[in-house]
Amino acid sequence: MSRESFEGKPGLLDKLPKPVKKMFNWFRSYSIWPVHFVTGCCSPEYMQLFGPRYDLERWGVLPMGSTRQSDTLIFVGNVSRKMMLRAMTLYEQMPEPKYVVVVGACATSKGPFPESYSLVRVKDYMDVDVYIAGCPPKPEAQAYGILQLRKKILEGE
Amino acid sequence: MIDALISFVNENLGVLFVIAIFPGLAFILGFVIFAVWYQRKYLARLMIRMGPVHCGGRMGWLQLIADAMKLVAKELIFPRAANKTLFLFASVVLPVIPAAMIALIPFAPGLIIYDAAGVSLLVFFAISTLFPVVSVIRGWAANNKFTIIGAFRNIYLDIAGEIPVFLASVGVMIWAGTYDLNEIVLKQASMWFIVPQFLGFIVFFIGFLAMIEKVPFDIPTAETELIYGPNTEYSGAMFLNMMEADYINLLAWTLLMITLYFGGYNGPPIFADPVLNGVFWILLKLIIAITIIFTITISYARLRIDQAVKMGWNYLLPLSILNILLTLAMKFYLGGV
Repeated sequence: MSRESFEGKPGLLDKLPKPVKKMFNWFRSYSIWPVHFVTGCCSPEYMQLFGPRYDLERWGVLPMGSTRQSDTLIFVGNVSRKMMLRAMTLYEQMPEPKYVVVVGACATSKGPFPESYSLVRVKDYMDVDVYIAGCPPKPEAQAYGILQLRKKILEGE
Repeated sequence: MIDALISFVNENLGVLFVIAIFPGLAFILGFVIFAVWYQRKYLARLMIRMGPVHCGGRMGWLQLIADAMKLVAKELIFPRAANKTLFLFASVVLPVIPAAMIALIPFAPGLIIYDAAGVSLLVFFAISTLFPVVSVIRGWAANNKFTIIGAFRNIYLDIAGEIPVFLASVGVMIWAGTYDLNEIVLKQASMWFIVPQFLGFIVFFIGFLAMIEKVPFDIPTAETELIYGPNTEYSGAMFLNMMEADYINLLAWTLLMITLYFGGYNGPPIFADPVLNGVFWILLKLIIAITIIFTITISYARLRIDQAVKMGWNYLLPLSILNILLTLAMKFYLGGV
């Protein structure tokens, strides 16, 4: 599966004048609705983000249960070849514009299992916006990563 | 042409104001924005969190605008197997139905969008029965097993909740001796109907929670079982319409509960002051009511569909019939209001 097959066509919003686009980017940056693809042990750290201590809802990040309404696909944990097929289905179900965040060493670069026959790197299959390093990354690192995604959306990249 | 339009607006200024601004469109949309923001902030405070803070400076007041604009700017996905006409039709029509129910509620003496000539309570119930029908259309049109299961659960739940609600409000009709919501409000000037109709109120309130599909009864959109129930396939602006429909439904039924049992636009009978009567009291009661509903939302777990249906048919229905008999006996011996 090549990376080009996931790239969306330019829509109506890409033809709008620059200030309007900037306004929409501002709205998008305050309304990231992630759906998380949990396959590993980074998820207990990820769950902290929506608890009282780190509370990403302060920036409007609202965890959703459904892909049709969400913006961001978050890979939490190691992704095997079989699970990647499911993840690609999820990614295709999400409406444009959509973003991908990869959490942890396993999904980024196979982490502690470099010789594994079944693990894959997410970046071989889809465009990744933000990588969060760590094994597992601490909740503050993940919060920082999602805020970096916010910054990226705000700058319109 | 334009002169005719201007003179038409000038002649019908009061009617247009009522339809477009206060109990009409602007108020309903403003309530939806306020209610979702208030729910997120209030639930966050109950979880010892902050809720939306950064969007718009103070208290995250722009959060809902940001969410809505983002959803409007998103891609609309029509599933390949879906019936596209009905899929779009359901998402456009669904918010209109509860909004039409609000047209029958009196907000102040004379401030009502449509005065249904003495039968407004019956018209309210008649319109409310359209909601599950369109809900099934949206579930069927998406052609997805989760949406269809969600839509059928919606029908089961609505019938199990609707009939006790209707029969409980029959108690109010008998006690007040009228079908007209305006007259029901006027008769509560000295005593709210929650006092003589307490059993009826309990039945009404539980059925009401089933009608608005909030957490003890959010069975159709059970997030852990069905992904998003009948709304699963909706994306972007169509999903925004679905959220609006849910909250306008909440608004319509809450206003009906206030009108039937809590004196509508009347103040508490202790302050027999006619100055404040009207919009102030009904909005205050509305905010208190949605606070209580959101507290219930966060305090309870979801019932199973069979438990909810059993509760409706086995317990609420006999209780509502008992309430009618009690009301008849009270009316016979005490003479009513």
